[in-house]
Amino acid sequence: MMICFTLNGTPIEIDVPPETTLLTALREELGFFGVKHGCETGECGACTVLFDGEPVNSCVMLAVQADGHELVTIEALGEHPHHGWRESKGLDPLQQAFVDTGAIQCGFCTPAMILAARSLLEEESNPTEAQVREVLSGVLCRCTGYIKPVQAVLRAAAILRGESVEPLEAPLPAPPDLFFPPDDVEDSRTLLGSDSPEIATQISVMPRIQINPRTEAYQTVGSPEPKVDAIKLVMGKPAFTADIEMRGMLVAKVLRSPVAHARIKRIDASKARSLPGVAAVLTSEDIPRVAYSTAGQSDPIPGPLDTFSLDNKVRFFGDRVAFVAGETEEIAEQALHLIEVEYEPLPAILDSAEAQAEGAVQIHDEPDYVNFADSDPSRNLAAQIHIDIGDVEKGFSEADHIFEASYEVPKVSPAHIEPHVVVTYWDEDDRLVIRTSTQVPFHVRRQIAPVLNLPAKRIRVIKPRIGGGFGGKQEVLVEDVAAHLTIATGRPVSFEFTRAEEFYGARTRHPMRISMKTGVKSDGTITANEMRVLSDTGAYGCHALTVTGNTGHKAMALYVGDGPYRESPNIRFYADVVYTNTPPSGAYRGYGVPQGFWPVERHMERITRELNLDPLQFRLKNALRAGELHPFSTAWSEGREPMPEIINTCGLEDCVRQGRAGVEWDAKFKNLEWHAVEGKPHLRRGIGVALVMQGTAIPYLDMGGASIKINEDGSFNLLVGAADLGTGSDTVLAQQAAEVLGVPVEDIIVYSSDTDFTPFDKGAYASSTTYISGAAVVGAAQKVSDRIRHRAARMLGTETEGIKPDEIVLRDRCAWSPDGRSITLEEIALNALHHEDQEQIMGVGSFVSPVAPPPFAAQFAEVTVDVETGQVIVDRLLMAVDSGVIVNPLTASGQVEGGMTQALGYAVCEEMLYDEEGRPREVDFRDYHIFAAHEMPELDTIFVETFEPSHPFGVKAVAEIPMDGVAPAVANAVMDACGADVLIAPVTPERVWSALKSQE
Amino acid sequence: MGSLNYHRPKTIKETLALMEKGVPLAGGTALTPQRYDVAAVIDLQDLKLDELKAGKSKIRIGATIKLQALIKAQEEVPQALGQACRQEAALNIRNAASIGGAVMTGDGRSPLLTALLSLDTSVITEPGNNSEPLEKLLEKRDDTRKPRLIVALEMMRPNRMFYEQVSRSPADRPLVCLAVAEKRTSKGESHVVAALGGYGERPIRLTEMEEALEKGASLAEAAALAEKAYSGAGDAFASAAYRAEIAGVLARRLLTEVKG
Repeated sequence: MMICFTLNGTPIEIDVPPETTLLTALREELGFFGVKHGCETGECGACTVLFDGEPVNSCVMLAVQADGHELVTIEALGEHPHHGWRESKGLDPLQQAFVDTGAIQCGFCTPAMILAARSLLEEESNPTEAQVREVLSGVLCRCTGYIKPVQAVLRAAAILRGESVEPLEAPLPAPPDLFFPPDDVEDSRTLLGSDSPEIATQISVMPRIQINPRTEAYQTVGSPEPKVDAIKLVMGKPAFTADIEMRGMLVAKVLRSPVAHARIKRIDASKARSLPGVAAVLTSEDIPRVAYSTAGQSDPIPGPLDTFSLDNKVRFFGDRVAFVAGETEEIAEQALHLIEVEYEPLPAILDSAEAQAEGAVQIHDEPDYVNFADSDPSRNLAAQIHIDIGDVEKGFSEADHIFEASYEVPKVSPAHIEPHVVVTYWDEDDRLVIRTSTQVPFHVRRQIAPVLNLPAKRIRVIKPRIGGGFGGKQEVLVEDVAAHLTIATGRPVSFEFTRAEEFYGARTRHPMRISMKTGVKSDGTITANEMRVLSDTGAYGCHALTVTGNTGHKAMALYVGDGPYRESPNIRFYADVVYTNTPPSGAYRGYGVPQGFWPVERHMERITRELNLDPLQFRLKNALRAGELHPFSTAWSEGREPMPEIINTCGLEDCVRQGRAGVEWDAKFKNLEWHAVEGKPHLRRGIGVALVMQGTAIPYLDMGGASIKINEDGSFNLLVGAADLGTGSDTVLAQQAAEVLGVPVEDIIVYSSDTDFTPFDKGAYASSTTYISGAAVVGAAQKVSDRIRHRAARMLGTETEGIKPDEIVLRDRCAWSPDGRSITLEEIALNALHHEDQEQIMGVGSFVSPVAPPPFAAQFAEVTVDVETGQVIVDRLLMAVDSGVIVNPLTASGQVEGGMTQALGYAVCEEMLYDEEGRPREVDFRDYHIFAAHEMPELDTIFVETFEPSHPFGVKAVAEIPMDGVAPAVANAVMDACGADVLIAPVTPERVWSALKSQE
Repeated sequence: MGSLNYHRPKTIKETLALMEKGVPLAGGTALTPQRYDVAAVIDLQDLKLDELKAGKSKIRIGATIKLQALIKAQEEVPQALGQACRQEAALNIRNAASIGGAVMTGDGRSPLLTALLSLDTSVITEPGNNSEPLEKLLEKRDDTRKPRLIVALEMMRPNRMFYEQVSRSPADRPLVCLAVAEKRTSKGESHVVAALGGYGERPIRLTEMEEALEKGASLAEAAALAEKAYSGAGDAFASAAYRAEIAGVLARRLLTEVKG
């Protein structure tokens, strides 16, 4: 059907079938890849376009509806500031503000946000913060927590009005001796024209940092540099996996199981194969049967090999049954309906408590199952952990009080806005290219090779930009589907999950049932601490051992006790990780630790209240300190040989001090007046806290590599295997290289994650990239620096004057001798590449750490509880975090804000449930609610810098720790508000109501 | 799954002639994901059904008015109706979704349908320019035997109106929601109209509670009837016991507000 519309000011006429969505027409017919696919039901907003000036979702609009209308996409706005001899109009002020404020993380939703904001600014030049939040509310962002996008829009509006804006040069200082709010705190929190008292964004884009004096000499490390990929993301360039056109590319679809547990008695794909436009249909009979694990982890995989690309058995609603490749998505979808499958139903285990019951059906009865450690499929056991540190029973016997309780945490989805997506094709050498949205490109290559019966050397994995992963893409989940179909057809194949598949076909956080038992003396000394976990890995054991191990390894390591118990803690951690007929669990930001801190911090709160102890003092009295042995380091290391680790740095006390001041704890806690809401007796305010720790990488295992070479103009190519999944890791790696090489970040050209071209890196997980890959980058940069200084010494003639290369300093794009003479890096590069003793100045670095230095944090929450309905409104979250030295305050605070927002969902609304047949309750963002811009609490971040000596710039991790404390802090605040003692997360209105009822 | 036919008629008459072949499409936000299940869609955008007439005692809202337009029409429609529209969907959806579409697709957790029920809304359909209570239409909206085209909604202008919901987060769909409107007759008599949502296929009108209030029931008695209305309203999102009690809590609150 011919339709005409105006697109970005240009009349367009295209012929589309009426069923084509506007999104498909824009992307596939017209090549406007700035419009993104995040769902099919209009809830995420990634597909936003302006339709006659208003933001709408193009995935829920037919292209034919646009006939006669005006459309605007991100491609209408701005251009790269430098286009050679042609003068560029530069970025749009909104785009520039998004770059400057760090409002871009993965960048997948950025074009949509900018378009929505543009529609507002065209109507209102001086918007309130509430108006900005409202206009952004149609676009879900899983990365940022919305603070920086809101600040970007307000900043752009101010610039467009001709007003001056805050310079973005340095973070705000947080005084080291801060106990009470500094005088300027109130000013910094002034609302920006907001007409809604519930919403507050700090004027300052920068977070507060208690700066470590050792970092003051740094030029680039510690600086709020714009992300190196910001310009392409803000312009909506085709940077993501699906933003590619290939001649003859097929579309893949997966037939999924409609039952929770069954054998496939018969499968007949003949009708589907004969459908015109179907290029291939694959069942388990058509491809090799290879047992593998989808968990993207280092070799050897620390878990059972219990998965097959396709099997003759299905183990959960949504499990794979067959693969189809069609000329179009519609044809592939149609073919799925033509595949005839006869299932022999089997009893389904939907409750983890029933997995090990007598007579329970065996979910994995295949003979080619490969055990790891204590896995035992005959007992539906994917992993088992028994750790005893010290003498736990003796510790209990020495306690004055024993506290026991049971807790639960839910299954939740990473819910990255870009779905899992992959494109595969044979290149001109008949090597299989896998362009995939993954956090683990090197693991994908290694792990998929045997599944495809291809040697790894004939596979190239490319990771483009990723639209968020959060652990969900630490999985070899989609690559084999497309690859099998490319092998079958010889043609390029694309495969992208629908949003519904993200809920029943992807991975989730492990739900757990946890029992705590803690011995405490009357003075508040913990004498022994025990956690017993029943963890539900779902139908497959990917990450089963390691996620659950982390639950104890981090959460149970924090409170060691005091006095003699500090010297020799008594800790027990037992866990059974069982199979059920539910979608598999896996990696999700925090990797088992949020599950652990819910019971630990709820338990600590209950103890403090029972014994009438100060909650902050009690926690600090028993918490791990610098110089002490990580109690689990000699007991467990992800199924490998454990090695002792000393905690070098711990800023927890400072975190508590800064957070206590920032949240004005002393003015609120136990202040009856503050807890009341005037005129509304059914509302009660509460304040809560949780202390948490995480880890930084896996010691003796996680390795990152980097290479750096100089170019003729004195710029550098930095090649890293590290996988930036939207966190900004490419940027902080470039900053570390730039610091060593004495150049601005713009002189570092980063290329990441291509198994053919970049050095190995284990991938983006375990909060490791800034630390592990960063140290590798520093190592490579130091080698390059060394060669540069040697050549500079010779060029300057300093060698004959007794000046050693070591005394030459790289700074401001020059090499400087101590006598003040200098030579530019460009001159050095030309000399090396063209003039004398020619060489490619280049360095390769790699790093593996003997320690996993934990970041620490104090998480505070303020809530208002409706004691009649149980409804909880979270008013404020403040996190004071010791992540070592902060390389980039914008990206680091973005991590904290975004992490707290995900954790907020975990605290109050995110939960995946299944009916009695194992069918999911949540298949879209309507029922699986994630927070939108207009309903956010106030978010605050304070960094307390320590200098971690195991890293050249003193960094530790920041990515995962924001997930850990919000849920227990919110629940503790609810308890503070009204006494409701909620033991099951999330803290839903009904659970608060039930807890209040139980008090009656 | 087959090829979809698309029509964009210019008149109601033309539209009605097409109704046997397909289903009306206003914003498309609900229908587009279901497009493979229908043979044809009839795009209503050229029918000029987006008029809003706000009189002293009645409000008439054209079927293709966008939900966001109702929020912007602060002077013309009750604030609580705008509040319910805002809770209904995110902004981008509201910019495309029509009120007619919301009537045909909203479920029991729809804040907007709950609010509309409390406004004693009637639905005007063609052919025949028929008017029937929204409550009745909701009961039989899946009946495709007699295709009807919604052209407008008519509702009372309340003296006062309040909406409140309980949800897991401020913008989440309600677990329980209540809308209460006060109708004033020309004789100055006050009548309460109330609707309860948060559960099931559609929100419900609290007729029994309304009648009890007419007869002078106390606040507690009225709240008990709201509780009773949701005494079986349990699902995966909330238990019946919870929903019932919260229905009572919200009834007490909003009736107190209405009574000033």
